[in-house]
Amino acid sequence: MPLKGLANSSLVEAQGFRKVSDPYGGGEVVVIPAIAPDWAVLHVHECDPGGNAFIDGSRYDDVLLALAAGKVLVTCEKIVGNDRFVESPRRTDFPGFMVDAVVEVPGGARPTSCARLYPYDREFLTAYLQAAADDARYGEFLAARVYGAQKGVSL
Amino acid sequence: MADKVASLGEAVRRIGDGSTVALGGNTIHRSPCAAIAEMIRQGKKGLTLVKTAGAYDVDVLCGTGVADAVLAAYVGFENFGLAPRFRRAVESGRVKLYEHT
Repeated sequence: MPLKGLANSSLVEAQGFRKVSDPYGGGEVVVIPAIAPDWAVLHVHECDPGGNAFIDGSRYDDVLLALAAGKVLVTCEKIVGNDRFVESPRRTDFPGFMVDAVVEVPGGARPTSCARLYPYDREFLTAYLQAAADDARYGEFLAARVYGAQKGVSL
Repeated sequence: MADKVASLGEAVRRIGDGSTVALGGNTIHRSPCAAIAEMIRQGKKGLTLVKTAGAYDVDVLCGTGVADAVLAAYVGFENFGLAPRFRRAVESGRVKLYEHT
């Protein structure tokens, strides 16, 4: 993938990115290898059982990740009927044919935020960072609030 | 229309050890944290993570030994501070960082 903007960056040398001659006469251009993930794992607001997905608020890079990945696992706040997407096709942020698995997990983004539904969990993130400073406390925190959390339910 | 609904455990079990996994959301917003907790519970190994701007997600997967490599432009907890377990894993060489921007 050509990236003109990296021309004067030290990342070119640091990451071993190569340069090619622009066949249209624009001089040398840096090319970076395309990232082809095996999986994209995404949390969205609504999915139908076939994987058509709706994201409320910012989509960030989720649609690009779904396009780039070989397989897509989507967790969603709510599984809705396909009629929601048939009635309003423009709600489809990425289509079901790209999706391999749909899981309904209300609160599945916690402790991070989910637009219009819940904010990020300040208490959790603060406690996580405090625990992370010490190996024993970190292990206890993970056991109590990550491994120990009920399956299929948010942290 | 094929029904693709699965349980969280079943869906996450399809991700093989050593896979390259892109994570949705951005920093502390709409990250797939329930799926990440399930990856940790299942003891996934050798994952390469792809994320534009990671935070808790990348940090906890590095801190639990699930991830071996990270492709990212930024990993940190925004106003909360740096990502301590990610930083430690990269500094010790246990996790390889590929920085692309």
